[in-house]
Amino acid sequence: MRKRLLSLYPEPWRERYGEEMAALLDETPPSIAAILDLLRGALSAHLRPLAPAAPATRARGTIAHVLGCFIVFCVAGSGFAKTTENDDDTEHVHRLLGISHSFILVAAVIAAGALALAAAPLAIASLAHARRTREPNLMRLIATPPAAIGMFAGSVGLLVLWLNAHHHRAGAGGWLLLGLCALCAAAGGFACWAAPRAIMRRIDIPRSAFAMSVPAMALVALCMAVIALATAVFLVGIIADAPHVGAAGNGPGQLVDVTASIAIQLAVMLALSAVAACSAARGLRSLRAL
Amino acid sequence: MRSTDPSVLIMASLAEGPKHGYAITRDVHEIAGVALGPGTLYGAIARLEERGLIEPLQTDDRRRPYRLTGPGAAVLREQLTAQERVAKLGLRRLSAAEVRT
Repeated sequence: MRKRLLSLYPEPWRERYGEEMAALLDETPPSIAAILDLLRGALSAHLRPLAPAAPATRARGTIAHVLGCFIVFCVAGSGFAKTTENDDDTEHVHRLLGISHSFILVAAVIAAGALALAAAPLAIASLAHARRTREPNLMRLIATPPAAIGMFAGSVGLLVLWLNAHHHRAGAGGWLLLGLCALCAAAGGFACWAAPRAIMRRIDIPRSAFAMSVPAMALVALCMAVIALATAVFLVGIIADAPHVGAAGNGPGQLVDVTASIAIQLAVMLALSAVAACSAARGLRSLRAL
Repeated sequence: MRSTDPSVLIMASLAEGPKHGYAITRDVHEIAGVALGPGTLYGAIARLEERGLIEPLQTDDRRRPYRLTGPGAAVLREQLTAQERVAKLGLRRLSAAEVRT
């Protein structure tokens, strides 16, 4: 447990002090005070980073950070898609709504393409490494994202089959399957972030792979920013020209209205876009030094 | 700097000779009664190393020892002297106040 907390420290810190701290933890009895001290130390290490890490470490960090931001961004984006799925006629109320919605769709497609472009050279490098070394742990890590996505798709398929069989009345079984879908989505999202991050640390990534992956991830970050801005425009359009749509209830139990839902999604998108953009800029700078 | 400042305590411990993380925590606990947590210890070690006040020694062991550098010894002496001056002055004033009462 305490050694796992070391993974909260920044990568340059772990590379420099990780082994020593692990050795120290092996020699000291576990305590809540030590756990809290490690948490505080990890936060402090992020706030006061060590001297700049090696360019390859920074490039790996960029890929992992933007990927993590994009996965959470997708959750907010799915929320937006769900919120606006029944508002096809709304987009005819004002051109701004239609244009911003189109921007979001186009940017989402480009982001997905850029993500595939970024993943391709890393996937090739990791498969080549696994083929050469036959490391069982590496093979398991490579298999994790497809397995996680498969489990999520399977759970959604089950839910759809259930709803079709019960004439779209969810019932207790339907809610249970919906919970299973949410669980698979959360676990799958985490696996799709953690597995590539762990793989990148285990293998030697050629410069040519970084030269393709880092700019592609920067493009993902750019698309995230475009989507966030287009969502902001969409929100303004809703408030100005379609207040009746904005006032409608939304989400489970209709707890919040459409305007508040989109505002929350927008806040999450803007925050993640900013983090991804900073990380992408750092990664692009590190490419020059690679 | 406070007398319980982790940086001063670590340097004071290393004044005796090179030590690794666990040996430093044990020594600091003995000399000052302060339990340094792992995050605090390595946070202070990183800052001291950055400032060139301590340096790591080469080893094959997971437990890397550190030693006080020349500038580190000078800074430690300055800190301890200042603390000693404050302590002596404070004690003298306390004694004088007790005599008056």
